[in-house]
Amino acid sequence: MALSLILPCLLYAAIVVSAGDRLFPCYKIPPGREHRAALAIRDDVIPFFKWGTLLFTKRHLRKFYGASWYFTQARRGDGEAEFVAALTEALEHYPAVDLYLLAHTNKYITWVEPLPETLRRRLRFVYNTGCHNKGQGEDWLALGADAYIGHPGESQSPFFYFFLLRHWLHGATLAEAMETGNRGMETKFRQVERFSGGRYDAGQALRESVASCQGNDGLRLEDLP
Amino acid sequence: MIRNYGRFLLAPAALFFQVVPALFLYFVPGLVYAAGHTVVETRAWTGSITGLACLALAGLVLASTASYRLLTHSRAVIAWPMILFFCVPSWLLSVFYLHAVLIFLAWV
Repeated sequence: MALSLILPCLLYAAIVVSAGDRLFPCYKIPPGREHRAALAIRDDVIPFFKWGTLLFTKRHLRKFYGASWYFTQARRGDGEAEFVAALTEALEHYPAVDLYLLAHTNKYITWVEPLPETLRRRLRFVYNTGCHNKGQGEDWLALGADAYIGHPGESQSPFFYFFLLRHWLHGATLAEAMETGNRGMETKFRQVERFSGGRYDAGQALRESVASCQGNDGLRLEDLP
Repeated sequence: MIRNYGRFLLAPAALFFQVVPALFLYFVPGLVYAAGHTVVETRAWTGSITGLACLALAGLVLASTASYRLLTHSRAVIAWPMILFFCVPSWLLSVFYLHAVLIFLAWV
């Protein structure tokens, strides 16, 4: 009996460690939840990717933010009115608003530009998974965001996002969460390279994907802009 | 007859059961998102997590029961290879789904 219970526990521990997680996590929600809100938007990709992003993101935002909105686009470019309405509501009622742009190369910045400057100043952190969207950082900071994280090339950002979101929400600074995300992503790339017998180029993938932060990388979830 | 060999059938059945979560992962995203949004996302999230959690736990119970019966009713020379080939893969997949559920619930 004991063996039949201990073996799956050991295998669970192996899965947790190989996923890069801690065996005995002990997390609290950082203070100030009622002062922050978040919006996430997923672009039109295959149903499995939309579903996976929804499962991973929705509950995290709901748990760690006073208010959160999650959008999934059915077509490229749709949902602008709903997104802008929700963002306006968030900016009007919360002093710190984070944006998670979970989409391939995108220009959601054009949706935010027309908003009044007094509201845009409440934008705090913008994370953009889009390929080649690192260059938008300066524009987001000019719009009013305090910090922006993006990827330089054809990025495989889901690996990074898996670590970034959880560490940032659990109280790490953006710099710490980004470092953990980049390290976790590199570990996964190296594992894939080994499994593929060298056909997958982890170095190239990392150069294209490694995230960088512009703005205040010392920001924590509980900080207000 | 089946009763006598039940302990040997349960282990392959536990592994074969892992087809169900695979089918779940294959079909549910399509039900939620194909041809527009047919299911409200909040309901899709709750249903998906519940389904995945139930399948993970069912897989664990099946594999654990199979290994228990093999260890208590069969000789070690038969039990251990069967556990290795049938129960361990089933456990691995089940704990993988379980960990995914805990992550999706933002508990870990």
